[in-house]
Amino acid sequence: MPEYIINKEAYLKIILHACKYPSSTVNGVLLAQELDNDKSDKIIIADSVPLFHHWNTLTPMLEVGLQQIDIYAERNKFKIVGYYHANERVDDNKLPPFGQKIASKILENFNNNAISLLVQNSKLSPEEPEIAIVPYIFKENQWRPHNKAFSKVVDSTQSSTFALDNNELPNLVSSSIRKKHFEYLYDLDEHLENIELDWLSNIKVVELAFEQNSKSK
Amino acid sequence: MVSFDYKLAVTTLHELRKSGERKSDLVVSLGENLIQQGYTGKLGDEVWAVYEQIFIAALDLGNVLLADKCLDNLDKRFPESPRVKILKGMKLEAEDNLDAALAMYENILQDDDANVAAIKRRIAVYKAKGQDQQAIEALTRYLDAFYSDAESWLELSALYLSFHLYQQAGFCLEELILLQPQNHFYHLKYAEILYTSDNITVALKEFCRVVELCEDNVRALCGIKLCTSRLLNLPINAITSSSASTNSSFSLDMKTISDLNDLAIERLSIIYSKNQRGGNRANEIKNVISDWLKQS
Repeated sequence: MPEYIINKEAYLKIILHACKYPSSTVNGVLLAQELDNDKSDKIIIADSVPLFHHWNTLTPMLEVGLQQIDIYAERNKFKIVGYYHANERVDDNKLPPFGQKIASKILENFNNNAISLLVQNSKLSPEEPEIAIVPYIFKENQWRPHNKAFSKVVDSTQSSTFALDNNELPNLVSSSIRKKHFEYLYDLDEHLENIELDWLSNIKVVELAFEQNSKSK
Repeated sequence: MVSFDYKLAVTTLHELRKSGERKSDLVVSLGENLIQQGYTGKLGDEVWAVYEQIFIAALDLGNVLLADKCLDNLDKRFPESPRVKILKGMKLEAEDNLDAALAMYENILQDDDANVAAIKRRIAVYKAKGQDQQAIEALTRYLDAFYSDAESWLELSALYLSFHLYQQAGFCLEELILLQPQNHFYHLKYAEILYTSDNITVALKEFCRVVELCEDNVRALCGIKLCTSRLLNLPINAITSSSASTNSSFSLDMKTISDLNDLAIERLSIIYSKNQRGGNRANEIKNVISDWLKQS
């Protein structure tokens, strides 16, 4: 069973997207590094691409977005490996049906190890940074949450394992939120309103959040 | 410390009140300066609107101290005012005390059942509680009386969409288009709803309307490209029969569809080739777009 590693770029963009639009549902796509040795059980979720905050139950721009992300991924040696979602309400901790549907499409069309990540809005408190995502895995014909994915205790009922590439990540991302880096994160909705905004790589937020930090160390 | 421009702050706050933009962090930082540096006395009667504005923004950011300060001032000046009661209700909402907030709004509505702010806050509480069905019912009742309230139609359409009720959501957008036919955003959302419910030919027509109202709208051009590519890939008979069944007065021939496809591709190529900012990253986006436009 695969072992998923979530890189800092992917995690950062998911959380900043949720923070930029606290009163909206937001979603996007996860990209994995294409490994030479495809037999390996390790899946590195290297990046994420933010899609929407206006609405996310309508399909035309979703089709446009997925087609373009697929092209972008291929050009940059990535592949689409999943879906992420953050709900509008703080206490809403379920992946809604349309989120599951998008995730299932990705599972069918792109990758049979695809997963979903749901942001836990209540864990975004800046005072006590903790890992604020729950992975959903498709098994027995349903998307099921893996609630203890990041806890130290090994859950023997779950066969897939999850880890962040850097244990300091919740702290780093929390300080990035405080510095309002989310103002420089752009999703497809924004790009379609102003095509100068780079929704595919969002390189600016990565530089802001991590490069300063490595200098100060 | 950067010197504080009082005049600019007051105009900025005024403009935000007028436009209704939700820039809570900006409002709070301007508001804190106004209050701490004692400028509130200079504002005259505008101060009450400013207090209300800062209060709501402070709740948005969870700045309880600032919110309380504003509310205290308003409460002293306007005891028993329903407008201040609404604010108290919003504070209860922010504290996650939803039932108490609901009681507060019910209380206002007992005295005045046409208090729009109270009606809307009550709907917001239903949403916060996850009672979306009730929110839909309340909104429908409200719109029966206040037919021309555009933001409520939009909210109702969003609620319908969360239940995948595309026909009902489409109806809300039709009402909005009747109210404000020149607003391209409503045509855009309507087009996307139609496309989602597989009504491709009418969706195409609406995407074209968006471009007519708002030149070079990228989202609509992408929509035209998507619709036309899909129609061009259908067997010919399927097009005539699908447009006949959905809207008999509106049909498209292959030539028009193919011309629209070419046009969308041409406009998108020009728009993206004009973007010079962003160096390599802009180039990468251009490459992705040009590959995408080659797909059909």
